[in-house]
Amino acid sequence: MLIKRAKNGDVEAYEDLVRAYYKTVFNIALRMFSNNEDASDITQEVFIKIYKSIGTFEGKSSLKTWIYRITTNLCLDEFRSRKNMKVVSFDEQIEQSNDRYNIEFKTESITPESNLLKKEVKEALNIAITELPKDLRIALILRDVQNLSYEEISSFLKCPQGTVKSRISRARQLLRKKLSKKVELFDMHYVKSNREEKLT
Amino acid sequence: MINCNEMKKLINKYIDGEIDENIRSLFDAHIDSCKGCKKEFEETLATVQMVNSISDSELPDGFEALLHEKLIEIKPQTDKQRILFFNRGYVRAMTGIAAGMLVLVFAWGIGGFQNIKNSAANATLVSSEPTDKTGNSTVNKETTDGSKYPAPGYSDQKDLLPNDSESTIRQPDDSIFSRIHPSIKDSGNPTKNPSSGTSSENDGTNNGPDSGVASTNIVCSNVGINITSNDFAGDYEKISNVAKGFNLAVDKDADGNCLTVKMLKTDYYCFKSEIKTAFGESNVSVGAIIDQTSFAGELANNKDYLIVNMYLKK
Repeated sequence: MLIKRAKNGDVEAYEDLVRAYYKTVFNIALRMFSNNEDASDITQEVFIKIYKSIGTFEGKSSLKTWIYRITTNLCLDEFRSRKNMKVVSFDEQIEQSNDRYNIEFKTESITPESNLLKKEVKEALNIAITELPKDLRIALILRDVQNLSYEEISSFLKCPQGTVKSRISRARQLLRKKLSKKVELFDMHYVKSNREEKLT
Repeated sequence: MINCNEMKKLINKYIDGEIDENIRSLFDAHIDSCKGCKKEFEETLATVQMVNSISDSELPDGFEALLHEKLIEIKPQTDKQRILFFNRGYVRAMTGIAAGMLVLVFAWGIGGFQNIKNSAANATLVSSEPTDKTGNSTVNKETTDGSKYPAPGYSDQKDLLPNDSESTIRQPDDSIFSRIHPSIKDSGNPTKNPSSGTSSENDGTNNGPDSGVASTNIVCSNVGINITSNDFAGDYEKISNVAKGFNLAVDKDADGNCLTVKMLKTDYYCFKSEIKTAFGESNVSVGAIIDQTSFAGELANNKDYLIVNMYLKK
């Protein structure tokens, strides 16, 4: 059994066990830090940490919950330790270099006539996300980017579902306010055309 | 009817599909009659849709190969930790059994099978000296796998005293630090305050005042780390989390501003790096590694270990 071999230090077994989570962990870190290099470092750190402590994994929660919990903790810890991390002002962000921001949209969900694929929209969205307070940001990423349930997020963040819902609600409202200042994102035609699909 | 304030609270529930049918029809009716709520709702929905539309990025090239390399690199360390973890549990279990048997012997003595004087003598012995018949230590020998690391969790402050190498008194102890640490603090070790003259970092070379003393007398190396802290409780938690990643326990002194962790020297570099990451490089000042030579005894075998004292300072 993979988990048993991994607990005994078998690197290959461990990799087989956790490989499926590499990409999700990387993307959570990427949305938290908006930087490929940092996201990659954090992801490596997550899986090294898990390897070191997998002997203590008792299976009380699922492996997925455990991995995501370590990921969110590490991201938040890293965030706290970065006192000197540069914060980009929303008012000056559009002019900045685009290299740092590597947001991509699922093209199938965007109507061709919408302006949501415009470069400045991508940048504005990414920057607006990175400007959110860390607790709101991680909740929003888990819910609206990773599409995880409130129950799952609650277990990852070790806080009540009510708190998670409140954070996500605040995150969405903050994001909406930030975005509405800068770009004409709210193409009503786009919203209407997707409303039925979204709400049914 | 629902008012605008109630509407605002319902928007997220509506978007998440967590609203029941009755409320939903009231919600729709309000949206159709209130431009402000309609705008807020549609903007929020558009925001969520945009965030939903963000696709996952691919892992950077070489990610798996790099991770594999790192895992292979740390494997020997984690193997040692696993062995130590196993041995600690094993020795504790055996000590528990031995202690139980001694209690039985003691009770037997009280029961009148031996004379009162002998019973009293045994009682004194049992309470502090779980030894074998020959008076030798029953613990703290080489680990059962034959590795050079002593079984952790067993020591006595008497071990740390000079000329006490023949002492046979041992006592099970959950934390070797609770015994070693006060002695170190009292020994005038220059790493007690690493900010005073030991701010330059030494990555393992022995340049302390005790350099040159025969290594067989080395009890344990230690190092001091100063950490700028505005929240002792929070930072204790942070250090504990880092230590957990290495399967290490953290001991806290009475004041709560000196935290101690004992680890294999081979773990120190990773540990130090994680502490720096956790607190920020500018908030961490690392002292030199000093070998303690003030003491002799079986703990001299602990030269593969390192005691890391972390001082939280405002």
